[in-house]
Amino acid sequence: MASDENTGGTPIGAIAIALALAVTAVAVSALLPSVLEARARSSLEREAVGMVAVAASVAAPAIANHDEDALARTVDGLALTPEVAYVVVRRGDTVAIARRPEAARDIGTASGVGARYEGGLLHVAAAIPGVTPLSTVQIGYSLHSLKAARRFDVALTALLAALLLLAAVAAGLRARKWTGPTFAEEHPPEDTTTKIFGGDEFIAYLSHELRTPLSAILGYAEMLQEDAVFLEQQDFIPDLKQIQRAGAHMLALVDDVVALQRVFSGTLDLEITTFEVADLLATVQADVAGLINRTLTTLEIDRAKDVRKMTADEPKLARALTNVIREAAGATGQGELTLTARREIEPAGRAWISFRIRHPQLEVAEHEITTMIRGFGEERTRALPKYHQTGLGLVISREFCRAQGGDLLVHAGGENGTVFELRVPQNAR
Amino acid sequence: MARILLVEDNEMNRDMLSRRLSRRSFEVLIAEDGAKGIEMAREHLPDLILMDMSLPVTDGWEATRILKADEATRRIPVIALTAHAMRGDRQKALDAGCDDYDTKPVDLKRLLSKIDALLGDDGV
Repeated sequence: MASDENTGGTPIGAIAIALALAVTAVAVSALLPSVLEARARSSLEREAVGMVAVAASVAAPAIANHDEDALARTVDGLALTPEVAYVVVRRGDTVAIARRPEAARDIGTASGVGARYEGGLLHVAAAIPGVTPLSTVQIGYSLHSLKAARRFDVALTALLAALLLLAAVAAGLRARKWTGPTFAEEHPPEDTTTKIFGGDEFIAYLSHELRTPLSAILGYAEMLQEDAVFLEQQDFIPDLKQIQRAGAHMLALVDDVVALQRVFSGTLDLEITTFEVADLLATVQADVAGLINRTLTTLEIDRAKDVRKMTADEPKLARALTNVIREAAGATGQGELTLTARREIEPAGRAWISFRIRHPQLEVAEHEITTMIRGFGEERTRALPKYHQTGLGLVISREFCRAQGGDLLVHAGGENGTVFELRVPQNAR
Repeated sequence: MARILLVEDNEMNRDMLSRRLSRRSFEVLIAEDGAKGIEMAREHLPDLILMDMSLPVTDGWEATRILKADEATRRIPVIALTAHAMRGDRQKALDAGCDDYDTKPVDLKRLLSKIDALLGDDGV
């Protein structure tokens, strides 16, 4: 379909775009002269005022004597002295100028002049306090400059209009090409992040860029809560907590995107260390404390005595457990969750650590399980509308377990609730 | 009172973290880049250094290597702070000689426990 249009005539969309741009070009070229003229006028006025200030100071005696002819001669015959410094003040349509305060004495009685462009002429007024209210002179050469500026405006406008028309035509041509394969068709998903964005490094860079301002948001929100306590302004705390929560939520999303990109690009690295499972569980408990506190959720942690050290990727396991707890608790908004850690020995002798998160109030049907742990985004929202979760958390948890030789399993118990099991070898090395 | 040198280039994060640490009775010294960090560490011999890794002039890894190679400063514990989610970042920081590692955004409670652990009894 797309290729048919491509080889056929100009699509209607392209013509429409070209027309729209052409109309814009005409409109801009009609408006541009006045804009440019205003700019030229303003700079000319500034220049003229500078020049006339000199003239005015010299012409002061002529003004004082009300001798218009002498004044006109003086102004016309004056050489320009740009090195003279002025203070220029714009007041509405006129420009008032005065020489530097320390040089005021040199001006004599001419304390200020103004200039205004009107009817093709530059009107310059010099006010001499105590001598004459206002005398006006017209300066011929400024008119010439303005004419030159106008010619320049016209040329520039024409050039701009031509450029815009060219752009319109080019856009029309582009529009024809757009009916071909889309970006996504040309770049299969597996190529996109790696080839177009530089893959892992780009995501890491993006994550860094997002984390830096997020650090500030979270840090200041926390600090202000400390301030509120110190200043006994506890009323602010709930609002500050909202900022912090929103920031933390965004941070979790940033982390999810990074994790997912690693999973998809196969660049998920493990940092295997030996650690106490008790420490891991303490980390998880601290991480979900905020969630537990603000919902009607409770979490009971139970570690069997023989579950002590394990060799695995501790941060990723903590993340996987935290994600599952968040998703499970978030699905119902409340519940009495339990997290148990048990050690299980296979007949072949391999030891596993099994973390089970039981949510008695969450009912999941057998057929929903696959979507629940594998699907995310729109697909999941359609299939499991009642959970209100993106589902990224469970997908990531499952992949984190699988990367360590384990898995995430869901045991649907109907009315008895649901159990999420994260099974990881005790030694994942 | 323990003296902490905070080497961080981001103004907001620097301000926020230094104020929060000061409130907890730490004396906080500030450096905006790795080179200044080295200079300050040599001059003031702080009890601990919080070192951002992505720093201008001299980055955190290089600054830590230099401090750890210097007899005068090698015993000062360094906690690497990074907003990077790059692979192997933790190992890279430890390889450079950092004594511990934490990610940004800083979780103050977690950071304080790491600071306390490194300062030991003679700390706070």
